[in-house]
Amino acid sequence: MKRLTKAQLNIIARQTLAKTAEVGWENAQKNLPYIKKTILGLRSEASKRVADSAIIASAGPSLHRRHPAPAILAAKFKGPVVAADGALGYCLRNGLIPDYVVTVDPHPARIIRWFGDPALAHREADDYFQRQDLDPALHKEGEARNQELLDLVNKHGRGIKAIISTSVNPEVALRCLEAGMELYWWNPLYDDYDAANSYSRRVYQLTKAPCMVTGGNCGTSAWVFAHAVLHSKRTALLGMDLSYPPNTSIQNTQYYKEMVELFGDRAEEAFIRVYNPYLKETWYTDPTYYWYRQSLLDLARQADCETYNCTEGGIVFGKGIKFTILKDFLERFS
Amino acid sequence: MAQYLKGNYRLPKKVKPKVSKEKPTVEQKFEQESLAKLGGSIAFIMKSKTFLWEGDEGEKTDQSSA
Repeated sequence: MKRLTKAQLNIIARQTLAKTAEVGWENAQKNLPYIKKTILGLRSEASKRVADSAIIASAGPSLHRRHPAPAILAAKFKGPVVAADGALGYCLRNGLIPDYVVTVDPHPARIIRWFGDPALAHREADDYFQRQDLDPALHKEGEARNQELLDLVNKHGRGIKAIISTSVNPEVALRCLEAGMELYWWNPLYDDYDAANSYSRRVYQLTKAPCMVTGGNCGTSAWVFAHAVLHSKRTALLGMDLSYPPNTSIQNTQYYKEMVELFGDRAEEAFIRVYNPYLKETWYTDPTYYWYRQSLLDLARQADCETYNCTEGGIVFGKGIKFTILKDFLERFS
Repeated sequence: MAQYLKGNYRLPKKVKPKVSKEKPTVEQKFEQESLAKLGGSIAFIMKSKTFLWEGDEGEKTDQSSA
C-alpha cells in the first residue's frame, strides 16, 4: 500500500473516536469513585526537579531487541522514566523502576495484563499477547509470567505513580490501587471541546481532570505527559517503533486479524513500507501505526521541547525528531 | 464491446459521462471502509497547539485534586 493521504488518516482518526469515546465516557463514570487527584498535582513536583530530561519507554519490538535498561541504570540517569503500560513489565523485570506508568486504552480485558491480571485464569482465550512482539515474555508460560508480573508490580507499585486516563476499564484502576500506586487522573482529549456534544467537554465537566492530547496511543500519551506536565526540555524515546522489523511475520502484527479479514490473501500488500535512512533498513507498518507515526511527528513539530528518538529501530524520524542512539543521549544528558 | 457499437450518426452535442466528485468509486469506498476498521487505542485530536486543556477560563479551578 502507498503511504496514506491526509483524508485516509482522517478516516482512521474518526473511526478511533467512534470506537473509544463512548466506552471511555462510560468508564469515566465508573471510575469516578477513584478520581481523587489529577496530573496537574504533579506540576509543582516537576518544578522542583533538577533534571530536565526524561525517558519514555514504549512497548515496540526494539525495547526487547535493543534492551536499553542496563545502559540507563549504568548511566545513573537522573531524570524521570515514564513507561507506557505495555513497557512496564520489561522495565520491572530489568530493574528499571519507572517513576510513572501511563495507561489510556479503554479495552475491557487486555490492558490489565500489563499490570499483572489477578483474574487471568477466568478470562476468555485471547492470543493478542502471544502473537505480538509487544512483550515477548508473555508469549510462553502465560500464567507463570502473569504471576511474575503481579509480584513485580505489587513489589514496586508504591514507588510508581499511575498516570491513569479516565477512559480505562475500572479494573485497571483497582489493580493499580491494589499494588499501592498513587493515581493521577486525566482525560483524553477526544474531540473539539467547542463542538456540540463534545466528549472532551462532557468528561471534563464530569471529572474535573484536564484533557490531554494522546497521539492515538499510550506511548505518545506518555511523551505528551513528559512535555506538557513534567515540562521536560528534552525527552528520549525508547521502543517507539510504530512499525515492525523487516523480518517480522505479518501474523505477528497487531492488526493481522483485521487485515486478513479485510484484504484476505492480499493482506501483505496492505502494509506500508518505510525506508529508514538512519538504519538503512525498510520497516513495515500497518495503517493504524502509520497514523500514530504521523500524529507523533505533527506533535513533535509543535512542541517546544527536543525529542530524541533513541529507539534504534522503527520509522519515527523527520522534522522535530532527532534520531540518535541511546548511548549518545545518556552521555550528554545523564 | 465499445468497438462494435459504433453509431452511423453524429450527436448534436458531445455527451460527457457524469462523474460525481462527491461519490467515491467502489475501490475508494472499499478503501474507506477498510481503514475505518483499523481504529487506534484512543481518540486523538489537536486543537491550536493545546496539549493540555484545563477547561474554559471561567471553569478553571485548582485541579490538582478533582
